[in-house]
Amino acid sequence: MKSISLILVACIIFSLNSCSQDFKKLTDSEIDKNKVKIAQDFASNFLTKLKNGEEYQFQDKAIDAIKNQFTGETQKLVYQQLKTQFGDFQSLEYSETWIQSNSKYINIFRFKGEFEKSTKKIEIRVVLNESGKIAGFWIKPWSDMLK
Amino acid sequence: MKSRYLYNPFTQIAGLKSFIMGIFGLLITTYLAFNTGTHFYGLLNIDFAKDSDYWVYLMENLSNWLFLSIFLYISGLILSKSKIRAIDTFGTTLLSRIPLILAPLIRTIPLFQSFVIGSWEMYLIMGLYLGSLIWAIILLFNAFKISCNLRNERLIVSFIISILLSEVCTKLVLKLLT
Repeated sequence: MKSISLILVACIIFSLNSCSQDFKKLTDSEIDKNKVKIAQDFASNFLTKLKNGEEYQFQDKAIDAIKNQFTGETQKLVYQQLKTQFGDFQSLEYSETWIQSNSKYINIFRFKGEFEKSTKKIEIRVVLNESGKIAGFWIKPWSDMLK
Repeated sequence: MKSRYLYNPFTQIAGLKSFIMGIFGLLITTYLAFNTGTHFYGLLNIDFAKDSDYWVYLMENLSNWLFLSIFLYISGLILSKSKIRAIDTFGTTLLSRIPLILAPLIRTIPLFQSFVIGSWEMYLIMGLYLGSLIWAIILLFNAFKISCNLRNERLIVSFIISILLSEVCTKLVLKLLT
């Protein structure tokens, strides 16, 4: 009876585990510090430019989809929404790196951002593809649960 | 130790003793909640985010205990025929929150500090929280029953209404402060 219960528990844990292991958090030794710097510099420069009323020029740092999505007009609109909700951007600090289990070349960098009006830290997420180009960028309330 | 102490220690512990033990528990829970980013938005709501200063976690724990104690005490004053003491209600309510320490405690293990939604880590923490919540509610119910000397429908209805009102007030205050 005891062994049947143990098998059942193991099956439940295995099934829960198998449906959600799309991402893996990297340990300090696994993190590529150069890529962290690329992501951090991008996020910081992007938000500082927008805060100063300027437009961020992606040049060859991002994939085409990102360049097309973040036009000058969209950048202004995005920052205006951020400012209304959280206040002006102040600073950001690196928090953690995740990878997709099936593609270890896609890196997800999570930073904690400080904004003028917000008492809580805000997540600034940057995704770099295999060639180190920006392939994703999000700003949202911080959660310890990766969505 | 008798198992009865796990769900109803209030025949032995009440008044100032329960208040001091409860304050100690609340401070440890808040310290662990701050270090692990475990938010208690009321009694029935938990969230995981290392995103705030210490005072936010302290307010979350303090406000829910205070509102819950105030509503339970008012219920006791209105419905009970006995003479009830505020220190008993506030102290035993505080002591009842001790099981809530389990979720932030398990999150001190690095594996549970950040995880993917739908992962086994998330289900384990949520399961543990649910268990600790049920335990805390059983303790709270017994604390209210003994400290306010209420029975039957009066006890159950006023207990449920107090919990619901305290949840609403806690969320309103936290929304205003944060």
